Amino acid sequence: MSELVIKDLHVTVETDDGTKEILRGVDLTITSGQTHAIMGPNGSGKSTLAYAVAGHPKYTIPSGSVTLDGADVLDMSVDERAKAGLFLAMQYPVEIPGVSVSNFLRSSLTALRGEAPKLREWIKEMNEAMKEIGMDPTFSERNVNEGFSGGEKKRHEILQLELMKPKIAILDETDSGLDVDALRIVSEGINRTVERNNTGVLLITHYTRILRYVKPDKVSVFVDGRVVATGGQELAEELEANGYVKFSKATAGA
Amino acid sequence: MSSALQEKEILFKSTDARPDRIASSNPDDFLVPNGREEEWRYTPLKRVGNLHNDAKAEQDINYEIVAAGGITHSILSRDEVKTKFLATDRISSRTQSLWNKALVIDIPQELETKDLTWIKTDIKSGVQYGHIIINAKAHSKATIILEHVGEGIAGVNCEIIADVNSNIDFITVYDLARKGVIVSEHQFVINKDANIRSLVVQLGGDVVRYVPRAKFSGNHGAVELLGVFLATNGQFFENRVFVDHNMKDCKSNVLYRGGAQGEGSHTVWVGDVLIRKIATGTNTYEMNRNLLLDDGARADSVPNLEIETGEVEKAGHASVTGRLDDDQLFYLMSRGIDEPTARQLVIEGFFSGIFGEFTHPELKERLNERLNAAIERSHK
Ligand SMILES: Nc1ncnc2c1ncn2[C@@H]1O[C@H](COP(=O)(O)OP(=O)(O)OP(=O)(O)O)[C@@H](O)[C@H]1O
Ligand SMILES: [Mg+2]
Repeated sequence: MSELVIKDLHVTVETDDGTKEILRGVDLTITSGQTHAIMGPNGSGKSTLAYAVAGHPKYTIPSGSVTLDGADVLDMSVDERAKAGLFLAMQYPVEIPGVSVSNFLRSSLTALRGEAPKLREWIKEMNEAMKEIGMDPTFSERNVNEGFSGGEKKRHEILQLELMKPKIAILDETDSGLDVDALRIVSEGINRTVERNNTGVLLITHYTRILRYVKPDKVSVFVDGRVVATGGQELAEELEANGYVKFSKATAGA
Repeated sequence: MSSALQEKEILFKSTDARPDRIASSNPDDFLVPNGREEEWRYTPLKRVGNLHNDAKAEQDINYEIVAAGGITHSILSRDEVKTKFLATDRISSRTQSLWNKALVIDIPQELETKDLTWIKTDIKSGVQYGHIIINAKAHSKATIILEHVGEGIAGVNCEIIADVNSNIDFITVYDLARKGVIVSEHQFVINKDANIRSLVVQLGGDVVRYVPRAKFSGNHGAVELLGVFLATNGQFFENRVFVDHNMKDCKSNVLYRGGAQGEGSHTVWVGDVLIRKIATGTNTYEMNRNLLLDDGARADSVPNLEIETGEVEKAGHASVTGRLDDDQLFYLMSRGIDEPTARQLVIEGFFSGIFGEFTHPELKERLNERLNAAIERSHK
């Protein structure tokens, strides 16, 4: 059993016009084996939450706490967070010229497991995982995300999720830009990870269509840098039908 | 006033890096540079062991060679060597007038070999001068690697003459000890349908100044001048590239990638491409990309393109200097990879854009080993 606990998290960035507060007191708990969906309008701060938890250097955290099974996540370097069992599937995965997917994945797993996977077993493991997620084996020799289509980048993120077997995974709009088949394949990958590794998932999305495949245990509404409502799947349906107007007003009035 | 003197004055007064400079084997045709001249403005002349002024040879340069089958080589004295090499700056012309022994490599006509030919010069402490001539005869194909190591001070020039339809890969590696100094002018002459692909790698040494100059002796020739350099811990590496498109329908591709890290580390890349009036149908591109790995390092990058004809096929140049990308490092680290390893991966990846062209396994391995050692030094 693992638990990622986010308490009263405030996050700011430096802009040309000074410091800008993006997260304004986020409270969230993500638990092993559970899927927690987050929905919110563009610019509400969902990716900021994901990045801040993963430790992107661009963000400053003036107050609040993030703990994983009691350990202070904010005190860890980015790689230490990954080693502690955190994973972030990015909304916009980064291209790394000249670094092959296979070299990248092997370096990552070597770091996470503390020893280099044996070459033969490694190739087998990688090929199987790629097959499951519907990536052609030739991708292993391509440079990380370079020239990948939007959908291919997302598959590559889920490939990493499956190989890295994190305790807690934050998936930032992994469903955006996927065709129907890819959506199903990627969703199956997420479900496999939850089943096999009892991973806890924070699923950031704009659409209920992924929630037909990946059943959320909870749905939260994220507006203007904080969680404004939490419920079950019915909340997602309501958002899809009526939008965020009701919740935006609620914050404006608050 | 003699006309040579007039030319000299024009040269030293000009503020842009005019490629049409004096060419001479007599050092007295060049003034002793004081560092204010355009072509010397970046070079730390205090650190070149007086190569630019009056440093005498203290010993002969030492050439070791392992040649591919069929390739002949000899070490010849001055009166045994025929050369038309005309130096284009003071150090180069001093080198040209002071070497005692030249290494001459002949790649016979129609010889094609995949085996590598390694030349190694160990620059012993003290001052030395050298000259290397590589003659690739018609229709030959070979790969030559020139590797400089050692801790001394040297001027070493090189001529690479590619005859009709020959195909030469020529790799120069500067991996001297921390206090080593070397200044080189390499002249490439490309005949009809010939193809030279050259790579320079600068990793070790206190000062490395490299001046590659390419010109054509027939139409339809092609030259690639590629380079990788990584200056750390106060090293100075300079590259001054000149491609003279003096024939029709020739192609040149100049791609250099450099990195600099640490207080006082400094890299310089100046790329001049001249397309003369007669050189119609020219296809040329030059590009320098630099990575500044911290705030103490400096990279100067100056691309120049001069076009005297209206009928070029393609001509482009570019230069980009940037920093290690935070998002790339973050992406790797978010997968558990520690910061030094993440930096190593990104830097290796950056250089592999050039190294990737060279697939010979032994060469690839040796280059990668040397590069990785240099990247590791940069972490310290
Ligand atoms: N470096 C920055 N400088 C200025 N503003 C920033 C910076 N980084 C983020 N922001 C702003 O913070 C807000 C939240 O951005 P974030 O990417 O977290 O939104 P999001 O909820 O993920 O949106 P989307 O649904 O469009 O992905 C946006 O208004 C964004 O412009
Ligand atoms: Mg987002």
